[in-house]
Amino acid sequence: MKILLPFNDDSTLFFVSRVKRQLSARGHKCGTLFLTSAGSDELVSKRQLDLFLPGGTDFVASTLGAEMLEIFDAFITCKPTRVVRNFLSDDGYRIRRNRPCFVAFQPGLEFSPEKGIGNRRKFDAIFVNRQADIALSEAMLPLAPKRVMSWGHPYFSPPQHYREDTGGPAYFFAQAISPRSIAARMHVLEVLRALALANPQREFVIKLRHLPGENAGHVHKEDHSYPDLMQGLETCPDNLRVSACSLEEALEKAAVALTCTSTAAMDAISAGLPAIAYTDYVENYLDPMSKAMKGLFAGSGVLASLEQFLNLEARRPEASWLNANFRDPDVIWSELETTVEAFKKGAP
Amino acid sequence: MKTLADISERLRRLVQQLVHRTDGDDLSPKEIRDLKERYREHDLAQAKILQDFLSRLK
Repeated sequence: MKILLPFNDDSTLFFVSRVKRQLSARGHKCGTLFLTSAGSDELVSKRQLDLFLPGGTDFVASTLGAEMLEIFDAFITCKPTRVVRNFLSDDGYRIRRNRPCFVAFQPGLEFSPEKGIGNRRKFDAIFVNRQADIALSEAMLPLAPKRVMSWGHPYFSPPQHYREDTGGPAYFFAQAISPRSIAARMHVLEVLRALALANPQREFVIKLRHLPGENAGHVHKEDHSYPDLMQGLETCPDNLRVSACSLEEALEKAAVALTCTSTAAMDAISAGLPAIAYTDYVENYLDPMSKAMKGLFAGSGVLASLEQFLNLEARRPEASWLNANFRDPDVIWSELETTVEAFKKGAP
Repeated sequence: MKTLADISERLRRLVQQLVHRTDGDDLSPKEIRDLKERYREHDLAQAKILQDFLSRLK
């Protein structure tokens, strides 16, 4: 199959990079499309482009066109932007036979699925994160146009094996807008400093999604960056530092994954890493993502109190929670291939 | 490192904002007081756990 993978910001770039790798390994030809807009340089930096698409981008365009798309069998995205939604709202285009099958995933952990599902209503196939979300989504969506509903996210594959905490680097996966308040972020930073002081033999790395100043136009704009806040620490131990490396590199180097509300908790679990999520931080009541994270991880065994977090007490995720949230990407892609083939043969 | 007194002061200001935010809602004065107290206790408890942990390091 020929598949087009569009991106317009850093998080969609990460998605494209990973999905391209997975689909290419299955023998598909993947083209990447940078959907630009005014201020695109504030959404994706050259550093990120070089890091995540080292071979370069195949296409750059500010709009979508029927001719440009007709050579592709599938168009896969995790974030239906206004450009894509407007394009798909043209019913004249939707009835064309020589167009790709439009497939939407969710961008990562979905804290408010009801918001995003409406934006995917014109897609031919929608993959929600959890099987339980299918019924919820179907109840919210109009019957027409017909679509295939399924579940699973390419990032959230069941762990193949579990790694033990070897005492190596502990990576804290930061999130741009959560914890939200400056006091909450400072509290989390002080917790990490305490961990570094208590474990001088161990490195504590705050994994940033981007460097300060990068992605200034992103919808999730970071107002209080950890590197800035570190200037306000009483002292900063040498074994506490920040990194803007790729997620893959962080997961490979980490011996334990720490977070508050980052999607990276799911990636870490997929990688078999011990993972600990602390959501009871100071002023968490001002941050809707804390409550949402607690809901999504309820019954996982990954949520930790501050005492457990400070003692780096990681537990293996509960099997029932894993089964409800993680799906083998081979199964997802196989289902997607069947869907696209049926679509090309005229199925709605 | 913020002291508990700093946190109390910050909370006092925050709770003032929250009370302001809930003006016009159906929360009774007692519910607002309870909310303020719950938030205050939550933050102080987290700060105390951290301070106790740091104290044990010394």
